Amino acid sequence: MLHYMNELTFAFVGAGGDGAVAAGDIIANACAREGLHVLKTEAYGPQIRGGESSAVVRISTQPIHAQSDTVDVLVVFSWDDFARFQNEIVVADDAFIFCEKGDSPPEQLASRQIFEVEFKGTAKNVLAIALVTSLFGLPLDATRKAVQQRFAKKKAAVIEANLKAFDRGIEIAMSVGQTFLSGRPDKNVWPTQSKAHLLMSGNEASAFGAVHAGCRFFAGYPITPSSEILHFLGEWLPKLRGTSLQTEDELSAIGAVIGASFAGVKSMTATSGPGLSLMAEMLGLASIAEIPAVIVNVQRGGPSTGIPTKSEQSDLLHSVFASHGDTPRVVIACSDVEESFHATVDAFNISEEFQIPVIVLSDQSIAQRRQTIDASSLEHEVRERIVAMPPELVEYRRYRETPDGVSPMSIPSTPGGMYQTNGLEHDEQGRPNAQFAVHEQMNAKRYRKLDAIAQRYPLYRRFGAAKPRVGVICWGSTVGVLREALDRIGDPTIGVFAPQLLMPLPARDLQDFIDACDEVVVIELSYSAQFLRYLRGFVDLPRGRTRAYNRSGGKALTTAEIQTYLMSLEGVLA
Amino acid sequence: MTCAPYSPHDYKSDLKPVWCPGCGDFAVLNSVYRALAELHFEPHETVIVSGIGCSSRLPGYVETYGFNSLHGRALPIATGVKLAAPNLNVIAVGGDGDGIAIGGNHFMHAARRNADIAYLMMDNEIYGLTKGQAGPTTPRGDKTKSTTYGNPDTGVDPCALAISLGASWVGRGFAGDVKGTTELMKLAIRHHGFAFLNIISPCVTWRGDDQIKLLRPRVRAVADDHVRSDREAAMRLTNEEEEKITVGVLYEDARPTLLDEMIEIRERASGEKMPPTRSEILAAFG
Repeated sequence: MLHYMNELTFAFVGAGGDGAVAAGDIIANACAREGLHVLKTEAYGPQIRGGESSAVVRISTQPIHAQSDTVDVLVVFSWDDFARFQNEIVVADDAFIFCEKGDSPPEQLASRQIFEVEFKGTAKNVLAIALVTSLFGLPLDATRKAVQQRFAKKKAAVIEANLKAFDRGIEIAMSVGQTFLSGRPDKNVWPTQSKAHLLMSGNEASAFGAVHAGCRFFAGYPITPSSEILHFLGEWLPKLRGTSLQTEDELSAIGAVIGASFAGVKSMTATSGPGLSLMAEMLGLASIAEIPAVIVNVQRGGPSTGIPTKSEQSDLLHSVFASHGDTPRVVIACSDVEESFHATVDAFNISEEFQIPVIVLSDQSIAQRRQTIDASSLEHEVRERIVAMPPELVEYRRYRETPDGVSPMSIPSTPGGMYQTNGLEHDEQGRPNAQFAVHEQMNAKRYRKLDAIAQRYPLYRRFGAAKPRVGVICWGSTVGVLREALDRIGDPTIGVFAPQLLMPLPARDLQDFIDACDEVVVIELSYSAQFLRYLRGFVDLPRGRTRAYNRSGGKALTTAEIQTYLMSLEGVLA
Repeated sequence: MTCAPYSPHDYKSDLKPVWCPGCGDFAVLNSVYRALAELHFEPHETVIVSGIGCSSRLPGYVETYGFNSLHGRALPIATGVKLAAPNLNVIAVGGDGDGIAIGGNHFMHAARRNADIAYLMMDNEIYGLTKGQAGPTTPRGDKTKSTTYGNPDTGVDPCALAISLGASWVGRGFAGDVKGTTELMKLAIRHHGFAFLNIISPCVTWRGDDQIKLLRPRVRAVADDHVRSDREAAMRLTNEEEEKITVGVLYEDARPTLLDEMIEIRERASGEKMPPTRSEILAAFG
């Protein structure tokens, strides 16, 4: 509790119907509205409905980049349900625990400060919210308002019951508050700001990015953990006079996207590893036919069905290399919710401008967490496709040679712009052609686009030491963990290079970074160290001076874990 | 959509078909030229989408927008084209293997959704481009390159399949009758919704060069008194004795199309309201 009033992490655990996740939502919403920084995650048991569930909410006065390692305040409606999460929810040594009267905690938690509360009855989650909000000085009025909003559409009796539970929670806080906290239980003691934050998931930010970029056609097949994108666009695209189509499978989803894009509309699909595997052939079609298409791939544990609800960075090699043949495509990673927005807009910009398929590589921990962001940060320049105009349409050559490989595209219904597009190798007119010389020429044309993209979009993040002694290379959700770990270690000689553009890799700048470091560490959430292997194809990683820290997903990398690892390296400040 | 009349010749591209001399697909291609001309379709407002196979080469031979895509995937692509640009005339073409074997799942769902597509299937009972393997319409027992001892699988009737899947227009044509096939094509293309036209288009190389001659006496027209909206009667026309092939419109039904539904959904979502602004969308996260 040392960092009390600077930051705290709350966890709510219960059975289905206890409202543990709703409790987390309400607190997260209220704090976001008061300008605090929030990161919220959820976890569930295997049951579709009614099983155990948990919500973990990290609240801070400072920007947050990752989940916290431990929980400071734990509300447990039933210890039976907690058992399912005991490997995921690490309870701090000085944590406060609130649990049902008479339901005794497991032995290993007995040393924590434990308060038994009579939760039983209706709206126990709301009672718990009021209790912890009061005791830990969170914005009480905003929380009450969030409760009201949560139940706004319910019957008056339901709202009343919840508000009554809220008041009961405050009463309990008043009775026990003075006994163990120096603060005043009825006062908001967190320095809140007037500027409210938005609270968004990575999936929602990607979907909003698509809308911002001008996407008006979406086709997708439900898959965990990306379905929220289908839900969001299914709700908003029709209002924007666009189309959202749920298809029969992922083959059809990417097919419809390619068709719609061929017809001139910015189009996207979203999926996870198993779906991306099915889309591999179509990815090659979009590449050879030079049709813009955006695919958001939210990684989960693999291979095969793997672990649908947990994160991993093991679709990297599939994303950069999927599909047979020499298949140029672009892959952009995002490392948090805000970047999910920007990566998706960048994906559209690159895809449209260069007529190439682009994969946005997210993962479950980014896509399904809810995190505070500033509405003002959701701005991004939007670029458009180069469309064939009349002079071009005289003896139109759809795949005309150009310096950067991009040939103006004629959109169906353009008079005189008729052509056949093709998954077969083709000449400049788009006519099937099996000659070596044409194949070589067209491969070169298509790959030239990657050079132009690497030049025009040098997308990577650098933080930490400007001239590092220890250089860390990482990507995606690992980046946030590195930010927090570096803050904690405070060693000014560690620097981080995190490419956002994974294909084509910003290889020259990355090589400069590597060459300047005494030691290089590649950190990732992949058992087979896919990122390290991939990097070796594009940059020289000195064999004697390169280390890898990698492990399976299924559990997010923690700040403490990376901190411990980096501090174990020789010469790093302890 | 319609304006200055075109002649069938105007729809010919300068690509020379790769098909074998005598292939039924030449006749189907001729019907396509005639149907487009008679429908007064503007070449630039027409998109022909295909999968992979001999017959899927067809878009390249027609002077419209064309998309020769992947094996089995013509229908998803055609669906995307039509939903994105409803003003376009969208025609999907391909073979029986393309549409019923590898693309079977899309066939089912395009029919169920009543996607606004005319789907012309050139049915030759064989995989021709890969040189003579049994396909989903190859009769049981037939010896092919891949079924040395006879085809163990029962062939499917694409029209029976289409009716059962909920296609709102189902017809059968015969490549040996260009005029009749042209008329059926025009009806299929004009149909509001998913129209499936199965065209018997014999493969002279792998099924024998006398196929047209052998098939012609077996072909007969749908009876004048056939009620097109009668699903069971339509099914009976597909399941008749082996010797007969019934050509004509077998089934027709009027129901909302996928595009109708999408327009209706837009109405339901926002009615007369202006499209939401970015701050209206972001308000959901405030």
